[in-house]
Amino acid sequence: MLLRYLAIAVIGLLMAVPLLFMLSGSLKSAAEVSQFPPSLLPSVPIWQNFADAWEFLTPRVVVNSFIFAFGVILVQLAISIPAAFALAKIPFRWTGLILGVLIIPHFVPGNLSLIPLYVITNELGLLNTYAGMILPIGGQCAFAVLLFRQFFVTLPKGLTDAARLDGAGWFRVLTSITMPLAGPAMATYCSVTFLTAWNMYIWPLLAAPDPAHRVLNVALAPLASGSNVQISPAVALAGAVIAMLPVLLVFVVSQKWYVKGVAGTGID
Amino acid sequence: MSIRMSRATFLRAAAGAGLGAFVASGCGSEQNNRGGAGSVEGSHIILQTITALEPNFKKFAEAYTKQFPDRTVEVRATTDSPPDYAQQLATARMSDSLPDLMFNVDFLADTLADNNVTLDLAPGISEGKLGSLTIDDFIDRFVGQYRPLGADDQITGLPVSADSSALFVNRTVFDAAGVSELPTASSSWEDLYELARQIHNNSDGTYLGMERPLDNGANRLVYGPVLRAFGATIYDFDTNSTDIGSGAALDGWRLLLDSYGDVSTPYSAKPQSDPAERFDSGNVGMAVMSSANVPGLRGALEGQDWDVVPMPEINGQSTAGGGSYGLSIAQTSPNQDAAFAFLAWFYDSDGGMKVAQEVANAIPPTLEGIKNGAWREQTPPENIAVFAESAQSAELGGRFPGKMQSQVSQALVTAAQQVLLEDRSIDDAYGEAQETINTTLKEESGDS
Amino acid sequence: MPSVTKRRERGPRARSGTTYRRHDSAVAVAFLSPAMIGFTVFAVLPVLGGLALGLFDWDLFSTPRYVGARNFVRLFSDPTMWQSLFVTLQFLLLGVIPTVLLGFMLAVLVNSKLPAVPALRLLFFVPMIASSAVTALVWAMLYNERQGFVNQALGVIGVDGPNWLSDTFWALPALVIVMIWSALPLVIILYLAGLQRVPDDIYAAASLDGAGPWRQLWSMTWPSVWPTTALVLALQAIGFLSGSFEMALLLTDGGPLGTTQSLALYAYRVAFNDLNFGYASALSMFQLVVFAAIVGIVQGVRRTLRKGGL
Repeated sequence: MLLRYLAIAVIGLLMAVPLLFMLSGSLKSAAEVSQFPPSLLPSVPIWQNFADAWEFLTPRVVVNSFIFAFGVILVQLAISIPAAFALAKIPFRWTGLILGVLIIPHFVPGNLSLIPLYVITNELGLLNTYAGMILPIGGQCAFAVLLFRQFFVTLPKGLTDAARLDGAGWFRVLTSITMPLAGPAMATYCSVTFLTAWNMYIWPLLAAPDPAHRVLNVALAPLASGSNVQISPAVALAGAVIAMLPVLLVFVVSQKWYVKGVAGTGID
Repeated sequence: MSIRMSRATFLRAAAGAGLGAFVASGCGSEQNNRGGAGSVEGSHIILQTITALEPNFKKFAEAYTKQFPDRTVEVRATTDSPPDYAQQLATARMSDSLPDLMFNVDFLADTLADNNVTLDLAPGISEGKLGSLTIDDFIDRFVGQYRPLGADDQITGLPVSADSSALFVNRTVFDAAGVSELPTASSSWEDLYELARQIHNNSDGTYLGMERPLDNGANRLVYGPVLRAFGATIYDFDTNSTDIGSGAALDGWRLLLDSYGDVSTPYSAKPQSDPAERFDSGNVGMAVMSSANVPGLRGALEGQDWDVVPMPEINGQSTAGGGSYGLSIAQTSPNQDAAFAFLAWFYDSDGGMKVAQEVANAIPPTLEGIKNGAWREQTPPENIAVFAESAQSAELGGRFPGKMQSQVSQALVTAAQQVLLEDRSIDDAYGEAQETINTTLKEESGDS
Repeated sequence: MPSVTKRRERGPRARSGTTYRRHDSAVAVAFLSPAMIGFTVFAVLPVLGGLALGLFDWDLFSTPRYVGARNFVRLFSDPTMWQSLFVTLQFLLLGVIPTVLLGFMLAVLVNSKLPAVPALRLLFFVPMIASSAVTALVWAMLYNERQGFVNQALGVIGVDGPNWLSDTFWALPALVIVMIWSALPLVIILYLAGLQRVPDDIYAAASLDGAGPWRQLWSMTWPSVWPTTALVLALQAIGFLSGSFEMALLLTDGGPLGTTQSLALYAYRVAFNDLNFGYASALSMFQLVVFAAIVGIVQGVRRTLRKGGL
């Protein structure tokens, strides 16, 4: 067991090097952050960096980011869960074909379909609206469908069959039997998709260029690009840390769904 | 949040992405009639720039409205990445929402001009729309960047500042490495290399002599002027060809490729130097950089003793390079006169140029500004006036058609890698690069 | 996949028979429609539109000009395309399998109820949360030839390390390691969800048989998360094929000498540096065709093997 703790801690720290780098760098002075060899910890922590980075944000920007990220999640959940359930549990002739259709478009690099996506959104008259930002990303639901489907597939067949024999409709089976068991998949989906949507940059920028719809990543762009010579790289790192906090929070909350712990693997 | 999607809407959207209709659905370049002079009084114009310049332009806009309370300029900026910026302009054009004034840059300038995105400013300027300023009041070579190749009489953008290169020297590093001799205005490139090697060897590699001048093989700010000084043309518009692998150019490449190793760092394919190997880390003795870096260095090198020296000469010719972002007016703008009015104020020594020097430490692209501007008083670097000289002698010639620039860089990086990593001869590698570029040039011109 | 073979044996009669009931199909259509409409409008159509540009000459600002098959013809005489295709295959071969196996093992490692493990688990998700700019910065420092951690560590055991990211041989493996590292969190998090559904009793049975932990891991746990593995494989293939070229752009610029320039990166540069969207689309179309061919071949081989009783 001690060995396992040790392994988790050591490998975890190795994986987390960039985070430590960000945290320590975000508190350094402009001179210290570009010093070589880099100092492990800031000699004097400079909290002003965070205040400087915060200047780039407004409450509106933060709210926009949450609207966008949660909007994408809600839209995708609403359309993906029934679809995933159908693909996993309902006998249907075209299941195989649909799975193929869901995967294939992703083998084309996304930046080439970006302009056509814009044209479609423009045709629908959705530019400079929240709907225009959210729906096109919400519609790209392959990850959600596939994730929930593979989770539903592993649910024992007896469970759904019994309910069907009792006369429950498919919708009842989905809402009262399958959904309550989907916690871990839901936690995984929400953390991954929140991260993806939260970090999205180019789409919100093109779909809603007006300042009223600006999201956090777009607002912090002057920090991230490093091209503004008058901004210290330490402030840029502070901005990155601020942007990361909500994501970290979602990950923390989602942890409570992974409760099982395979004690039986004997690795303990 | 829901949208009603009627059958017709759906089909229209489908067609929008489909083959033929996609083409027609808004990628077109047909002239838009919305463009017009508009009125200056009570005007509201939108200025789109890159995020790096946004804080400065916001201050310009503020000062402008303060002086003319009935005119407002809305500054928009969302990206610094060239691909993102290009996409943003292109999409804005499709939905007919281009700004009135926009940021322009050399590699996009030709494409924007060819496709009737940017307005030819020359007629407006000669009609006096810049107030008392005429085109002769600007530093000619910087305006030249925004004259389309083959159409010299047009001007599709005006330079924002006059940024040129100099040799940046960190005396603190020289001291720490025990090198007492410092570069001077009369040092040659070889002299600089020698000093750099001393820094490197004396300090056992703790300090670097020089930030790699060529980057990963194609820093135009450096290779352009050096090759021109050796007598290469680089790009000739009349024959639509390059001599980048000719005898004169090869002398330049030999000199510049010598800088990898113990002068700067071993060759690395990375497009940007590692932070610790950059001049602003305070570990590096010298660097060839543009005056645009000065404000940033004031923070990064606080407490260190650094200065600038004019670029070395080759064959009696300065090897200073330069360039500037530009401001352009959209052909579709209904407020072209108001946009001109802003530019007139912006380039006025008592208007925008004054603010620019105060808040942005920018070097004005006007002759008056460069001669008498307040920027000359701001230190460090002590020798900042060097940039007045280098801006006016900077070598900006031999530029390729905008769209070609990245393919040229690609060919040059490949040649440098063949020489440095595979021991190919400089003659062969750059000979092939020249051939590749010339073939592409012919293909591109055959297209249009 | 026993269900596939079963259906094949039963033949067409099963299809028209009781397997697919009309009521079930109607419900399935109702459940699937919203997702499929959204996916068609916002994923399939844009991709088709993007691929259609392969028939045009377009620089983002001009009117697209129809040029027929010219962009596709150019593919075959373009040595950079062939080199990029080779690099793409290398990324796939070197990247996907290690990512899946490592991710699985790490997920099992952190799938524990021990106190403080949920908090420590967060460390494993960092590569996913950290921005690509920060990631590139840190790895560039690690790989730096003169002062980088990797070469200093090698120096201790007397090995003179190469200039990792600028060496025509080492740049690709060095980059693949960064890409695996960035891809691991998604794999871990997916396996974590999958592991929650592994029934406990299989371990009890295995313990009675006297199977050691390592054997249990591969003969019990691994087979029971197969549906997750299938999803992870598909996602990682997508990632290494078309997603993760950003690291190459930041760390090696596709170099040295094109050794880390995948087809996706090449298409990106053709589109945005050369403003040649037509040819970039042709490149993407080609990538799609090549990948479809690979999948087809793999499926064919698997089927043949199964027929041969393997």
